[in-house]
Amino acid sequence: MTITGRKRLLCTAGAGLLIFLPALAGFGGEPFMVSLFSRILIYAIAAVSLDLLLGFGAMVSLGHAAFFGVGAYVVAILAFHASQGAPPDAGLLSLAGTNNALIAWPLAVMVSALVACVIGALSLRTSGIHFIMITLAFAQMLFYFFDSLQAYGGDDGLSIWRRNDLAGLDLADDTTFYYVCLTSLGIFLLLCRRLVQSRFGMVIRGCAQNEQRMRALGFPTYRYKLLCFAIAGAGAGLAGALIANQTEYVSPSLLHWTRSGELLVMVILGGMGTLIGPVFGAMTLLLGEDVLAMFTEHWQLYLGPFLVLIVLTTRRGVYGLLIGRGGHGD
Amino acid sequence: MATELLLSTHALHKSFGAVIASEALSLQVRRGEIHALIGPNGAGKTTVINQLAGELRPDAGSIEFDGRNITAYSVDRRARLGLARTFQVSTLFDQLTVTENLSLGVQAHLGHSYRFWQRAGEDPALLAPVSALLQRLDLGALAEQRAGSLAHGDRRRLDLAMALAGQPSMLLLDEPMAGTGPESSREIAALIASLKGHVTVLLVEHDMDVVFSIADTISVMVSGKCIASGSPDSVRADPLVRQAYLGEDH
Repeated sequence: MTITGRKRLLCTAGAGLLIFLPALAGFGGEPFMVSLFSRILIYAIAAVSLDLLLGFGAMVSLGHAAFFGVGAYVVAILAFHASQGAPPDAGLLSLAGTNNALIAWPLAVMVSALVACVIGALSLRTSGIHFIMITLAFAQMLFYFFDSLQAYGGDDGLSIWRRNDLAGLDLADDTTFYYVCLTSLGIFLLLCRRLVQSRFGMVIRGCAQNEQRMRALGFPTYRYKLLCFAIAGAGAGLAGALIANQTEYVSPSLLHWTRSGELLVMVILGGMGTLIGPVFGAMTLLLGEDVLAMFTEHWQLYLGPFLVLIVLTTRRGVYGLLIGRGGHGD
Repeated sequence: MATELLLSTHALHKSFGAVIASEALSLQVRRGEIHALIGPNGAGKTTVINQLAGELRPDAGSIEFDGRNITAYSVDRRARLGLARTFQVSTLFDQLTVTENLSLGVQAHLGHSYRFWQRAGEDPALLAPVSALLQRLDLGALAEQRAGSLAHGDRRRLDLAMALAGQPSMLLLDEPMAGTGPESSREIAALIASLKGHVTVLLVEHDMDVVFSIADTISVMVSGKCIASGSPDSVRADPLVRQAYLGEDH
């Protein structure tokens, strides 16, 4: 079978499995699987957005969880205000609350994109190892910001009373929520697929390979990379809005640098520069955690070598392995 | 207007620490001509190209292109004005195909690239000029190959084709024939000669046979200074040049 054929088969099989997962889980008497897979889908969105930076733009960001966390906090703070009323002394943050997903989620996406714009504007003046360090530093600044934000729980985090209202859907129902996550991932993947093949996407790929030549051709590369960074931040913000709803709780740990590291692992493990790969990466990492944790509390001891093995022996991660382009040099 | 200047530098000065790479350099390139810049290794030719392209800022002096003072312009802004370049070592997008490489060259001059939906690979506004370039540079058979897998001579031609993709008014060519075989060299030289009258060319090249056969004007640089500039015959006859560069018995 050709590579394209295998790709198509794999994606169809994966999509089919995800669509029928709630039914299968109900049938198999494991309803918690629906909740676990919602979590996987949400992390997959964040990982796919990071792949735009890592796999296509060669921008190794070690601060991507910041945008994830900001998106989550936007939803949580709005929900908090809706139930408690805005605190009178919150200054800039004294906005009216809402539980409406159609307002809260786009707002989460926009705020994350805006924060990404600011962080990107400064970080993109550097490259290579400096870029990694500066994105890490900004993300940690945001981590400590939320960690000390006493009005919203500080390091204890903030519980959300109930999930958002989305156009008459009952998000409290785990199966409904699962399908919202699945739809979000599907749409986001489609948008990213078109994006990387568009003129804009070609500019980003060109910058990744040879930025000097891109400038010599006449592209103001900084602006394009900054927009790419903001788009990736927006994607992570959407994932954050969903995770806040899924767990009905947000805490600074969502922004911690180890979370950014996990997202990087998902992208690299799944297959950088493939978009669909990070979905498999998120699935492998989170399922691996879950399954291994059933057998041993030292699950990380076993997961670590497994990750090393995948990364060392494959070129396009789990995805490359599945479509038969795993080996080096082909 | 055969004598109209397209590009000129005025008392350009650039030094790296104690090394003076450009000293009181005033070059004048007329529209439509092929202007060769020659000189021994280390004379500062590439430094001139880099200052003209905007990769390096001169310490003093100014650069005028097409009636504008572009001394403070960024690399990409100069390129969009029609000042294109190639590199001494071919710099291509190795993971992209030849078609995609050229497509980016065309795209750079078709307005902004904030287009997020239509596939670039199916965009007729990009594909038509690309196929014309493939034909003109004789790269058609390699169209779907990755740039990274091309032979050296083909890389040089692709490099040149990418610079031409934006229909520049001027090309800065930094040793376009470096490292190619005799046949490739001839093809590239013929191609450059065919640009005469359409595209103004500033050519840095070591192959004197090529330079004296295709250049309209030759400027000779030694240690950052331009010691002579004129027609091939006058440069060949110039005693300073003979002494400093060509050797007495040339």
